[in-house]
Amino acid sequence: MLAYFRPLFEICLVVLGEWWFHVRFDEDRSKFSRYIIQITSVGREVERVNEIINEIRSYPMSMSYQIWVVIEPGHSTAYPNADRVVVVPREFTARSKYKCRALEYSRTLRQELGWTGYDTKITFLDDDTSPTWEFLETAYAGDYDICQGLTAPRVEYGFGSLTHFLLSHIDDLRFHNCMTYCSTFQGVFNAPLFVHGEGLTITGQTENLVGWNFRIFASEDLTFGCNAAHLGLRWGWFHQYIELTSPWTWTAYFKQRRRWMWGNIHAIVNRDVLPLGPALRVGLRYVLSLFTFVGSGIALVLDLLGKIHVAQAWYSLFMCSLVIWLLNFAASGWVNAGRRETGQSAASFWGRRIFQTICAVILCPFSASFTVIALIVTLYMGNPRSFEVIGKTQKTSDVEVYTADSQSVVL
Amino acid sequence: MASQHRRAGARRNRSAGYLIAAGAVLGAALIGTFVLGRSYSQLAYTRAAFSRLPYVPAFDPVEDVTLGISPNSTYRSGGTPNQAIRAIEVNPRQTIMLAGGRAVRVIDVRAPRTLSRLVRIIGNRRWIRQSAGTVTLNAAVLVEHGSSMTIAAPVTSGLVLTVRPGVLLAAVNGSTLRIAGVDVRAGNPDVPDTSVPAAQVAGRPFLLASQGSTMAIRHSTFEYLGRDWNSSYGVSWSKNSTGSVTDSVFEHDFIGVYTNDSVGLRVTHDYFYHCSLYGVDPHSGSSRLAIEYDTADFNGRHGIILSNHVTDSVIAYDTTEGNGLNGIMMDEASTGNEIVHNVASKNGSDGVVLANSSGNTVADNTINGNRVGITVRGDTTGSRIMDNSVTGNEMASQGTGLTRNAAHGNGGQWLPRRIGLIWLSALTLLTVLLALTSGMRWQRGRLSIAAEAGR
Repeated sequence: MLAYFRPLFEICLVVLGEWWFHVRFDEDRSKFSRYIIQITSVGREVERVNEIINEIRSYPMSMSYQIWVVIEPGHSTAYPNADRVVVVPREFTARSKYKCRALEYSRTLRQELGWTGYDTKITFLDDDTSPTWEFLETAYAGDYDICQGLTAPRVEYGFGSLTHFLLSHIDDLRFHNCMTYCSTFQGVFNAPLFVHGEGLTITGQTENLVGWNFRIFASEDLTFGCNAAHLGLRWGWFHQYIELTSPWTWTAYFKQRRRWMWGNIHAIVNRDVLPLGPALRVGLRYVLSLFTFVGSGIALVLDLLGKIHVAQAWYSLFMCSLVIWLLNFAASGWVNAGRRETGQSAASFWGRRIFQTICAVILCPFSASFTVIALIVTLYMGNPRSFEVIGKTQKTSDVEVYTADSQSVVL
Repeated sequence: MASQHRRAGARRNRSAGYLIAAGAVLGAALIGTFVLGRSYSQLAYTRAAFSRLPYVPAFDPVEDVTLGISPNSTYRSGGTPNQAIRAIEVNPRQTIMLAGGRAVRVIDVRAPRTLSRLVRIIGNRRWIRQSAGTVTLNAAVLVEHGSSMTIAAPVTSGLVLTVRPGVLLAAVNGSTLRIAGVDVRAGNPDVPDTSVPAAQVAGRPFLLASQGSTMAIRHSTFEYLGRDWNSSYGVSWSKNSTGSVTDSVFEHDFIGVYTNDSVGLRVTHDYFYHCSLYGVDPHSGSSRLAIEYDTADFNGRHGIILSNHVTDSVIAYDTTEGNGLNGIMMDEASTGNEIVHNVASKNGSDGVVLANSSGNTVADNTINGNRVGITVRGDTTGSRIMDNSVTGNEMASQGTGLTRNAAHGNGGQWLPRRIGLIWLSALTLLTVLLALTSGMRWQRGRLSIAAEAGR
């Protein structure tokens, strides 16, 4: 029964988080004088990163800002519109590995520059994320030590192959989770449950206080965000989109989820990475997901077999819960398909948007089930002990997935 | 630049917080209305769509017509013989024409095997006549004492029973009547409903198998027959009679098929539409009946009802839809019956009812769109209700739980007062939330101003 109530519980969180943002999100641009937008990449996605930089450059930004690109050595540094291209030296050593190590290196650079005060704002982007102009403006103005916007897999959502179409819809849950749990646990409760690296915005002071030097190989975003909250720093969440791309192949999908899963497990079980409170909180979320899936699945089968009887009033409530669940997916489909590609006609845009919304609803049993199945499969696959990078565009996905085996070469 | 940033912050406009609060309260109120605004407790017992007149103990209608007395004769008021009451007794070696209970003609022939042959033997158009394939009865025809008669197409494809007192077709005392491919109907279509006193419609004709007789019917139709009187309901089997009725249609009769102390009757693949009272009504001590693959729709009261010690019967694969009251009902100690694989939908009252009837099995039925899906009342000890699909009824069940059944989408009746209370509460909550939103926005505004001033 509890499992069936989850959508009702979640819609309450969504409303609370969204309402909180609209009435309580604090903005004070006057407190900030420096803005760094940092794209951290292995270095393989040169074309995509330049595309992101050009996108940002096309925005009528209201503040002066710098774009930093942080990459591993051995890759092209041809980012003509970036203000600074940082190549993490092979000899740089830190407790953290891979991407987190690169972040730590970039922190040391800022430290050397003396950009460690509250007036410095840093927004971290991945090499598959496009922030909207509104996102960057709000992230900069947000009067918080650390804040985030709303992730949505809007870049080429549902485009291309059937695989990408399905994987895009599996990612409907990412938007839903962000809308539900990030909005409240970050924005309202100051106790993050999810933290995504895409669009994570912090002050120089926060970065210097928390640092990136954790004994981790993945989940650096969750680790950083939870430790910041644990240190009493102030979290904020705002409803502006950071647009990302869903994986293009099943292999990439499983590699990505495996990295997240084991990165989180590593963080949960190690007290020098995550404090006990956040670790319990994040661990409980996994248990809750599994319980919801197994509990509702078993209850559904027993109900259909007539083995259990649910009182009618409860049944009516479950029906409401089901409708809300479907509406959640419809909302995900609607928002995720809301990015208008260059040159796309109005008819094509709206037609596609409606189509993807319907698909999101139809595919919701698949999307929800597959997410849990992936959780179990990635557990079975075991710890990758490295930061496995996936292709971020259809083109780069077509080549072999780049798997890190050395901290010096891989993010 | 500042104006551009205001555009950037457009998503967080002044009214959004209020709109979210209003939307949340509206959503909560809708859910509250849907979930709490309905009653899931007992529903009031549905009154009959029409009341039925009290039962009057009366003579067997075959006795009445044999004695030449009014079909309305009762134990209290026996009545006197009337010449207008006429009957033709078909005996194994003799056919007797009775008027007012007296033999007016005795014909010493072997019992005619067909109705058409009887017409020729009688040779009196005022009693019985044939025109083309249609025979019209102006008198009762009683196939008696082990005689056997067949009424079948193509020789006889129509049978009209004139509406006048004493007209009926019956097999009595171990006789046999076979009807195949015949359209049987009363002389006029004025079938009484239960509010009409039986005395006013004494002439409604009917068919009857009685006293150990057999009546087998197939591919026939029966229209406008019967009235609310002892064994005169439409087509009846009584007093140890049996037989079968298959692939036939009963329309606009008082009751489609009625039994009384009948054993082993098979009612299969038949249609019962718009009968005034019931579609199928096995009654008083009938047993081992098979009522299968029938459709009993839009009858005045129940589609199928087994009442008063009807036992060990099977009601299976039947459809009962749109009846005035219940789809299928077990009443007054009707025990040991199986009600399985039926569909009971959109009936005015309940889908399946067990009333003071124990040891019945209700399983694998599809019950939807009724007032109550399954109702159980009185002593129903030993009854098993399982594997039914109970959906979309106003209430899933009454008097029983539905463990081991699939019950979905059933809901109670709307409760206007409670709904009013829900929306009043919602209004209050909305006021509080709007005030809270306003207060928080004001507080944030003050903090911003203070920060500006501090700088």
